[in-house]
Amino acid sequence: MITIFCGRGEGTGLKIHSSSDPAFTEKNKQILLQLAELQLDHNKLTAVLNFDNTIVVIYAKKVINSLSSNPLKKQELRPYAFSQIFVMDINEYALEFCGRMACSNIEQYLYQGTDHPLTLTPEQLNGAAFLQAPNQENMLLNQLTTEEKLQYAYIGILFYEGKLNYIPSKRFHLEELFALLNALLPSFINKRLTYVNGGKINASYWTESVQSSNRSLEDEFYFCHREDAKKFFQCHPNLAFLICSDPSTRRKLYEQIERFPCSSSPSTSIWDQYETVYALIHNVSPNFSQKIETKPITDKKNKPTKTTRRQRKATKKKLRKRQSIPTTVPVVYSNQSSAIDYHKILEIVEQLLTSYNPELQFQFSEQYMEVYRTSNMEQLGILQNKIRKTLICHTCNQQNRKSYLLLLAYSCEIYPEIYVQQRRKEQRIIPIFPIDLKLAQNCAEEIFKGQLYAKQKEKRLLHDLKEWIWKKSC
Amino acid sequence: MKFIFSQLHPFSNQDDFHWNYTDFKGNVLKSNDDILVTNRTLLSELSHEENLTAEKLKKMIDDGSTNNYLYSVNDLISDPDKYVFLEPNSNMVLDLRISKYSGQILPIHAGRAKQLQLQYFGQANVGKTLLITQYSCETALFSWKKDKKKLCFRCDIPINLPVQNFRNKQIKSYLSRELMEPTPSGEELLPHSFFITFFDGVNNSEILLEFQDIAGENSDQQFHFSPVYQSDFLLFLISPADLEDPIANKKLEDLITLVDQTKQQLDCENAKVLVVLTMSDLFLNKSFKSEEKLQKLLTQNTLTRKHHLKLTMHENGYNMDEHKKRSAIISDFLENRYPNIHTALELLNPQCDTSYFLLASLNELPNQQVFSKSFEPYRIDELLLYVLSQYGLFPTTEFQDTTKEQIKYNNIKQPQSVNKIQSFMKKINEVFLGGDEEL
Repeated sequence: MITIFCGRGEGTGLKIHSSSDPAFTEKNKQILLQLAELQLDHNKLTAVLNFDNTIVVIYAKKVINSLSSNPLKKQELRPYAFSQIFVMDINEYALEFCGRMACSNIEQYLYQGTDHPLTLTPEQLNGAAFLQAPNQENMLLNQLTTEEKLQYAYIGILFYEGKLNYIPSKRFHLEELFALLNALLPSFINKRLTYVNGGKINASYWTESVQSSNRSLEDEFYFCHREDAKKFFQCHPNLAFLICSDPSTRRKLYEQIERFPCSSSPSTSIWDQYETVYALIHNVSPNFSQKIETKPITDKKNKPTKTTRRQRKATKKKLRKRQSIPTTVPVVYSNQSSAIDYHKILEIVEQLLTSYNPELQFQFSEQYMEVYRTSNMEQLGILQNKIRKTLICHTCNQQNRKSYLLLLAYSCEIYPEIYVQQRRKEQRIIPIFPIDLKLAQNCAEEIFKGQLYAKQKEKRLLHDLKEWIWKKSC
Repeated sequence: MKFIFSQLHPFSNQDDFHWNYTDFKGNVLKSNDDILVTNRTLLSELSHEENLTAEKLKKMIDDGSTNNYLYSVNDLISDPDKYVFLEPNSNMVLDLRISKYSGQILPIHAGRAKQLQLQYFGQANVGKTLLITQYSCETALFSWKKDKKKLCFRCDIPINLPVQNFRNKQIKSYLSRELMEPTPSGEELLPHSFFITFFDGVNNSEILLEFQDIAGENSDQQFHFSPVYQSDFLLFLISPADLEDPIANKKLEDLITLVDQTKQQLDCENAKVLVVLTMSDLFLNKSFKSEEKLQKLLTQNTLTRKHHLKLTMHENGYNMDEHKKRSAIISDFLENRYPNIHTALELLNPQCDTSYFLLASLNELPNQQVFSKSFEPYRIDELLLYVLSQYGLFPTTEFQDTTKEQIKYNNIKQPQSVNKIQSFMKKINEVFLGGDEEL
């Protein structure tokens, strides 16, 4: 790894001040100076760029010089960008650097001074100071279920193939997401996982930009790419197995595959090659025509069989011993964290219906939001349906009217996509809390079914609901 | 729209520009054949909401990927004054002109008024960008009226361009009274164009004045790369730190000698040299205590601020007497204290006097990257008014007298030459005829 420090604190323009490899910097001085010519949006910029399997990581920060005692000394008075450039091999980046970039307090491990005067420790110059930062890969991987691992891996594959542009994720920020993808997939994926975050790099090396979207990355995957992912992993069961395996063994296996000499035809994709080579090494015949029924992946509705613990242990043992693995690789599948505690929420709902409490309301909304965040839309739909059913079972009084309004509003909330579609069709302002009013009307009809003055009550409830939403959105 | 294009006629061959226009890469544009036309919507479609620099545009023109966005003039209809073009098939109005050779968006009056180019040099952190953005922001300073004479000074770049400019950022930071970011090298380099009209009571004269903003570290590379043009003025910006700091001083000397060496390449041998000492409020520092004359100069400002800046010294016209006095004092100061710089500057154009100016764009040390609301820039007007007065675009109070003298001098000169002939003939008479006989 080579470290280079650039800045313009001396007041004589942009300069390379110090580097761990002077010969390299002199050779590539022009390119380095072009890369150091930055425009920051705010206070800092991080960038990862790829030049033919060498990765250049740039960390830049805004420096505001304080006036020195002698104003006649030549120095930069204006705020300027001071940049630290790390140049390294792609494998070194994948192993050592990418996971550390996701560290939240990464600035602590970088040089914090300015170039006027430059006070560098030898550790900072070597880049050894940076390597003291904790590697976040395992921490990130532990947050995910196996199913989610496959989901994010497929997102990474889409990034690599250029089928998907980066959209902000609900769960991870940019550095974390790319560190995660690096941990899940082979190191060559980093060729495409390049970014400039927090500003603009002059020079024509980087032209792509982050696209804005109404959806988060997870929603985009759920609505557009879920089916493709399912098919892809049916065709690549070995790859799926690799992605879901232990992080330490995974890296070794990837390296083993990369080292394996194979005659690859240009027509086959890189993922097919991985599939076949893994099969060759472990004496597994690659099977590209498996059916959906045997192995469901990332589809939560049709979950026919779950692998038992014994099976899972057996596969792990086989992996350790590097024995042959059967053709139908059972994908490790657990649903513990993504399962919703319907009972807990429904209990709160029933409590709310008997006696309204602001504390209870707060509890409910918190639980509901957690479900919204962690699970997918189908699960949320089931929960909404259940809440509506309990509403119909109970009777609406003046005492529990507030909780009725609250629950009705939450249970009739529209999914993001449908909301967006509606907004496109009818170009009028919809309150921030989007609600399916027809559904609410049907629900209200059933609540007051068989009662006296049913229609009047229904109208009143809906009117109150609209007012409630209006207040909430204001 | 119908009304405007009711008088349209097919495009004729008389498509030459009234004046040649040199774009920022040094290409001379002579006629409508050298340009491409487009409009704002097409340009915004072309840029895909990204930064569109002149370089990128040039690349796209070379690739041929801009065919649906940039039109060559031959197939279009133009109005009698050639200000706007019309695409006959789609009835699209095309009003932006782009140089074919460099991708630069032309100022409105390119080819319609005489172009005057000021090529300037200066090390980093001298105040090049600040001075020129100040000119484009403080245009109220130069709107001048006296009797029937009027001066109007305004920016000439088409407004509301869909292209993101670094310049807009600079203007924004000046108006919000913040220090600007350093100008990045390699960013699109459109010249700062100003259109100046002067009505002297009878005639109206116009000029297109252009400055090209350069990054400090690029100012010494300007010769080796493309922007080589016939500039009418060579402007050097020097800050007190450049003079006092030994390393910076050496660099400055190198820069001036470099200009001298490549002057022929620049094709500006007759260019007048202007030297501006920026941040001149720093000359009030203790280390310049011995320079009493210079410090006296700094007591009088030519501007006052009442809501906006106003001329006081040159209210009736540019005061040439004052200018000469000041220029001489600054020249003496440089000669005594920094003889290396002074001689290098003087030798650039020995035939013509170099003019020296003192100015301070902020006239105060910025406090925490922000300067105060009521800052009074020190004599920023002088440089520009001097340049204008050289081209008869601004009256001079002293100038009228000197012209009279010149005329007198010229009047005397002619009889002198007659006398010379007469004396010569007398001599001949003496030699050949040997007497005082009259011719």
